[in-house]
Amino acid sequence: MSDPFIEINQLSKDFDVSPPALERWIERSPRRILHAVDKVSFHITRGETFALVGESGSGKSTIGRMAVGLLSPTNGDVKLDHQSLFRSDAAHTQAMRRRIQMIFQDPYASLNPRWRTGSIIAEPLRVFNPRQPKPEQIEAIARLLEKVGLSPVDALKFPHEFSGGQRQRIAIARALAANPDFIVCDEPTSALDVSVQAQILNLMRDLQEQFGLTYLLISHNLAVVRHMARRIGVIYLGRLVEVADASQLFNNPRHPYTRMLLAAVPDIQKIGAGRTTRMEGEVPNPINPPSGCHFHPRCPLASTRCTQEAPELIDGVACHAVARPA
Amino acid sequence: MLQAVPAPPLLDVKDLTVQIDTRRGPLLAIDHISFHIARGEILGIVGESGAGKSLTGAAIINLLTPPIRRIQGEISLQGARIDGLSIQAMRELRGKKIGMIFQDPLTSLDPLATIAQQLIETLRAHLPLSPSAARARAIGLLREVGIPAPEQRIDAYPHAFSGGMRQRVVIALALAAEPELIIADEPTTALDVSVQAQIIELLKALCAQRGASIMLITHDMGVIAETADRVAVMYAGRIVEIGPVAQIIQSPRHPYTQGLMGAIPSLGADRTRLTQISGAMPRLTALPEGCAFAPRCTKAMALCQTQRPSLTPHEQGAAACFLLEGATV
Amino acid sequence: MSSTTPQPALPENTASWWKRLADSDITYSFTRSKVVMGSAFISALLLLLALFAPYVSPHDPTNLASLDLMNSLNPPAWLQGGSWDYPLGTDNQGRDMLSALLFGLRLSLSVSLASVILAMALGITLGLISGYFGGWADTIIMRIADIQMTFPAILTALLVNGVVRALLGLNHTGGADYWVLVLSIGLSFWVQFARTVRGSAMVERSKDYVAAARLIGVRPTRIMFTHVLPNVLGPVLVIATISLALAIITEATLSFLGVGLPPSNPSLGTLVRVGNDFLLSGEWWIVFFPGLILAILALSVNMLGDWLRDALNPKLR
Repeated sequence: MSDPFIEINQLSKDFDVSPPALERWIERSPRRILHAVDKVSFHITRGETFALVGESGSGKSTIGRMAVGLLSPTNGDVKLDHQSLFRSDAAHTQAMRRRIQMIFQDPYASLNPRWRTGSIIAEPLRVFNPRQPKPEQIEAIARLLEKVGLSPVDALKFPHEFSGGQRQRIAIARALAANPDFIVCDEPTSALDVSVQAQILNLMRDLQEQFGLTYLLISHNLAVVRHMARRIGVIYLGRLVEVADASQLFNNPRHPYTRMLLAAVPDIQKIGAGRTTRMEGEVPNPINPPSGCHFHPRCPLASTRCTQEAPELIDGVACHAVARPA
Repeated sequence: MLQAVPAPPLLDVKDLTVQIDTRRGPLLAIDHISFHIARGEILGIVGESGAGKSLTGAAIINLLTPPIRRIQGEISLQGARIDGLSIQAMRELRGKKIGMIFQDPLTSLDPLATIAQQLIETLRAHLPLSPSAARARAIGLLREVGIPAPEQRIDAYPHAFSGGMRQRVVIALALAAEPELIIADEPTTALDVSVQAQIIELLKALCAQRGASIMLITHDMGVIAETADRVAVMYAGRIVEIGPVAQIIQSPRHPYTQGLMGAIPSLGADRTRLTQISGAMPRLTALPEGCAFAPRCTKAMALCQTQRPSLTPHEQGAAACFLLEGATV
Repeated sequence: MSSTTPQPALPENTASWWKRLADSDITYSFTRSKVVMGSAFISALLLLLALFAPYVSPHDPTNLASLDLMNSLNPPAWLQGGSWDYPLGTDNQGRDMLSALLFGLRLSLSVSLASVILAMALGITLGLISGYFGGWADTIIMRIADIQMTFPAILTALLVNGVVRALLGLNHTGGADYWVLVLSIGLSFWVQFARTVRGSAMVERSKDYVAAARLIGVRPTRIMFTHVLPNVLGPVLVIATISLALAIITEATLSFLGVGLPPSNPSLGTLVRVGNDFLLSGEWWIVFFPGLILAILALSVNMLGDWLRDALNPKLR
């Protein structure tokens, strides 16, 4: 196995969703803890795209925000190049920050509406390279805009003058401005139309080749993931249920949840297709998940063991019923 | 397929035109579109945001509010014109003959009334039923849309249901009066993938049983592929191509549809580069003079910059492109 | 097959800011209402008169040496016994009412503006801290705001006024009156600003552009002032305008109650107080004209504030 570039180790995040202290005391109700992410581990090799797939409440975005250091984990660690992201050493943190960037879901909220494009892209340049002379900075902005398929004169415009796809290009240019190694892409195209989605996905792949970027792609769209990722992790209610190479996952899904998801995705190649697998139930409320294996109430293979005991991720799949390959 | 049809189609829309009045002048949101839906047929309407697909649905059931208004067009249901109906008559028609399902189930449900109250009210407004008969019918409907233990759950309020269950209730409400046509505007967009599939299956099965037609408005070509019989592709307020679902997906004629199909990532295909259409759909304030797609079209000719192509029929469907009219570069 | 994008038609970016302003929705909604245009015209006129009071006044009301008791209590020019030397008559000391009015307006407006600016600075800063950082800072600031909200603004102003005067050992002499008044009105108006800014800041804080700035390690205070602040200023502008109208009234009330500006350097409120003594003896003009101007000023500024609130609210467009 090649050297892991990004290591996510036993990462957990709990959120306190209790009512306010006074109310809790009056009603004598206990604290309520939401286990948004529960001991998730995986690694990403340098230059590859790893995708996390899951439905609402799976905790995939929370993992993404921990992987860039926006949230600190309750337990576990994120390492880049064998160095932990969470150390109380300001200089170290700032050095790590330069190497890690993020592209957000909603390009309407991720760009400050009162700032010109040029200033938006200049901010990382200014923070990481404060002594760069102004003319060089302007040149760098122009280069970045051209890299993402915009024109240098766009630096003078405000975000509202651009379409959704163009805004996402600006957000990508801002991420590139820090000259990162690793970019977390949180649903980068789910707010965009299909024809624009294709532009952005292609751009992301071009940039990956050009700069040797490593991506963590977070998405609910299996077709997008199939198109972009080399390895995929499937996540359900905060737990990783399957990790596999893309081709293996799509051709030979092992976890019952993965199988159900693949059968459920509407796809243009399934013209008039009748369904063979029956879909059951909905994702439960993550505040109060089912015991044992979270998937057992919807699982066709569930046994009593599944209701009591959470399965370990062994050899890429976390399921009691699926036999290990010989 | 396009031979003389003896009976009129269930829904016939001719030259529908919708305008938005702004202080800088009127904008054409829907530009002379015509289509029909046969009895029992599922017509998919696809397009990107701003293409006018939702407005088309709203215009048919007269739910447009100023400054948006219909300025032209004939809409007939079972051969009878419905575009000039009074507000009262239209309200009766909605629900009785045309059911509606929207993206967000919460907009269709009254948060302050129980499911029972809402269903019974709808049933009794359109059908001559006693309160107890209506309640029995409502429970039956809920069972049909797959709500477990409907006898108990019928008296719950909408907030007690999950997203998928709410959308099932909305489907029950839409089907309550046995309408001929269901207009479903992004019915599954707000739902998780695994729930989405269940809802699509349910909608398809129930309409097939009742012989109802569906006008399915969505941006998701995958949903269309699995559900629709025919598809109309909208772009900047016009229908650019219409035809059977297999033809639209496998051998699209219009350059926009061709680009769109290449742009959609599919589960079946391995990691390959997606074809992309450059640019974005023009805003309504800046529609080009000629074909609205011309600025993004790789096959655009001089003619396309100045004139708008109209839908040209071919053996299976129709497409609005000068290339199909035999024009050459 | 590089990803070059032909630019779709965008709104004309090259137009000057003046042209863009003239073409904006705000300008459009402004020109649609005659009442709003009238209010703006009156406010602007009064502001100009106040600004240029020393040049447009026929007399200098602050020069006590020029007063002549022989001319005291003259009625307005169009009444019997009036003269065009004193178009709106004179007060009990022979001061020209028109000149006193213009200088009073100048003082009233400057006190109100200064106190609104103070309230704004205080309210925006505290609101930003409260909304952006949350936690204990938020709890403390907002509880203080809650407590202050239970008192009427005028009471707060009176309280601050009394405390400051007691601390400084002031009576009605010297220029400190002015700043005491500004302080007391400013301190009674900050809560509105703080609450609004806090609410907007909490919304903005959760947006991803703030996350993007945090991601690269921009300092919180810098994010607060460069990212969040520009996005919360819309509602602040509305509150500032409405507060200005309230501040004008509050200043007048304080001066009327005798804790504002002294009669030697009267504001509109002081003029009303002085005139009040002569109301029953028939010299109505001393109280009537300052009162009238006060009402017109407060009303037109308030109208502007109301319009601005509606014009900036995207839901009502």
